[in-house]
Amino acid sequence: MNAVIQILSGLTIGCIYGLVALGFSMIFRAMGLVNFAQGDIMMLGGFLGYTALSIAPELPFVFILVIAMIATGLFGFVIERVAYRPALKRNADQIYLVLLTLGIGIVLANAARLFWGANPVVYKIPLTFDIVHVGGYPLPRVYFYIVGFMTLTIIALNLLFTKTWTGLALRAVSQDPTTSRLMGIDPGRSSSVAFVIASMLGAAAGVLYAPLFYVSFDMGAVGLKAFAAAIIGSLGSVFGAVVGGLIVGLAETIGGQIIGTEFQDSIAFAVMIAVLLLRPQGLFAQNRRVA
Amino acid sequence: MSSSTATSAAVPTGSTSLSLQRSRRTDWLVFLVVMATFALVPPLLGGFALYIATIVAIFAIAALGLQIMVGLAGQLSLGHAAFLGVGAYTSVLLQKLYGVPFLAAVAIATLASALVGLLMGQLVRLSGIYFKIATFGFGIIVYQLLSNWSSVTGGHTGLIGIPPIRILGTVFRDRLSMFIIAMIYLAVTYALLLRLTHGRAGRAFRALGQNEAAAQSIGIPAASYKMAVIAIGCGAAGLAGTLLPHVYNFLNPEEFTWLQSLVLLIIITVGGLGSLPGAIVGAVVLVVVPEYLRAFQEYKMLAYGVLLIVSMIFMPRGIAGIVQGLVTRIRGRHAPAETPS
Repeated sequence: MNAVIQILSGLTIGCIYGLVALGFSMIFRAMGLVNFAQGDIMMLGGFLGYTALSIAPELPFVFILVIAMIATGLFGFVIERVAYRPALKRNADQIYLVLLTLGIGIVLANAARLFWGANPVVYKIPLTFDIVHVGGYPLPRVYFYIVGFMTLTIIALNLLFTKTWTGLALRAVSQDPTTSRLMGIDPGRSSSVAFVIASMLGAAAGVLYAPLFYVSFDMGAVGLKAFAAAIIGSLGSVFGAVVGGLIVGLAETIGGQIIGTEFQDSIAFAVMIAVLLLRPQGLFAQNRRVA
Repeated sequence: MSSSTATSAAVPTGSTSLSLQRSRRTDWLVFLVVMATFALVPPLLGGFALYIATIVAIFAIAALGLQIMVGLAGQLSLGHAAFLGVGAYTSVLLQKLYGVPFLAAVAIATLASALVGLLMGQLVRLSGIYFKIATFGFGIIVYQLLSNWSSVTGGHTGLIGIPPIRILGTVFRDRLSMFIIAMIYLAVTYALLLRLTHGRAGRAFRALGQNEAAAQSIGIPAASYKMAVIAIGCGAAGLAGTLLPHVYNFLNPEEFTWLQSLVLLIIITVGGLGSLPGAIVGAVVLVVVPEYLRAFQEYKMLAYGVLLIVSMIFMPRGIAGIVQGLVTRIRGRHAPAETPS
């Protein structure tokens, strides 16, 4: 009984990692950039949801989620335009780009600390404490929101990539940026779209994480474990990001029980290193460009 | 592999061996200026300045190693503080538990850090972005081991009762002698690494940093040089780490977090990627300035982040690049491009 709850909670937190990992993968596919600020985007989404909630406490959770996603999406759009695209245009070095995203991450985290304070905040809504009994297992209601949102995201992304021109352009750019540009695809538009989607998914992860735990300025570190997830499932693979997230979530919950919860963060990265030893490009590697 | 092919890859076409020689002389001149400044200014200011200068020297040593690894050879490490930790804990535990003499403990700890770095390099024999993220993960794992393996490392509370530095029976514990020891450390590391960058290995590292595939295609054994540079970078961090507990008089895993790894990266970026004196200047900026802005402690990381972004946008080659540009303008002729941009 306890084991079932452990596995379910591992899978749920795995969905959160998966959402953030999807963001990493989208941006990497579209612009070959590893955005180390993605975890801080998740934090920003969580705090924006908190602010929306403190302005309008009666608002349903779904609206909070949507508001945070739109606001963070806009933020992602702006940051891609003013910070990343000029650097990419100049053909900046990989090291430069990594340091730039790290710098933006530090600034975001510490600006949030000034704005929302150094102490973690909790969403004071019924959902935070709501428990549902399913087959005798007490489960937080927010689990269903998380799994539901993940399912919707997968369906929506699938439709986007297979049924729309935008999605086709995104796929083309990820396979060969130069040729796709020759075919008339605007790489700037693709990277904007990718950044906005990634920021929205990150924000959703932050808002969905909040009722389970808390929001704090340094929770970018939580999002960083999503790196391990994205890498395990091969950076750039959408399907892999989700599976990688679930693997990390399960591994750290089960491993935490066996070794000790204080080593949870290590487990995610130990699993990642182990996977990379066996498959240097992750589990779902395709013939894609390598950074 | 012949060294002449390596030279042609590392040095931009057009520069002659004469300009190479001249730039070497400039490098040693800069070395003398930097070390002379260190030897004169803090003792004149005295007291607290000696203590700060000691910490600057420690960070400068780690940053020098990181500079070779990141700025020259392009192997970005996102968990470098972990190797400071390995050095610090190995040295202190050897002295405390087994009574190993200070110098021997320092040597073993430096070697241990280099070995752990090699282990990481072998475990994650990866290129590009996969290597970066693996180093990040490695840093987290080492930090969690240090803070949770309480029976050995003292856990989150850390270790107190650090044995004083004892060399050949003489005990050094006052600020001035700590400062002098740190200066000797720094001068030796700086000189060794400077010599290294002038030699064949330095050229190979540069070639590796500019284009790994091209370096390999002209016969540079990229894999072994990569391992070598990782060992050097991590060893330097370990060496720096051995001094840290003696200066602070305690040892605590919080000194080796992911934020410290970031600070080290900011040091070499602000100082100028690829420049050894730049790494030292960066360490001065990032250690000294916060000491005098203690009232604004909560803005510290924000300021670091802004500093990182601003310096990357407005001075992509860091303080070293600006100084070099000024010198070139004053001399009124084109100086040889020594550092890769």
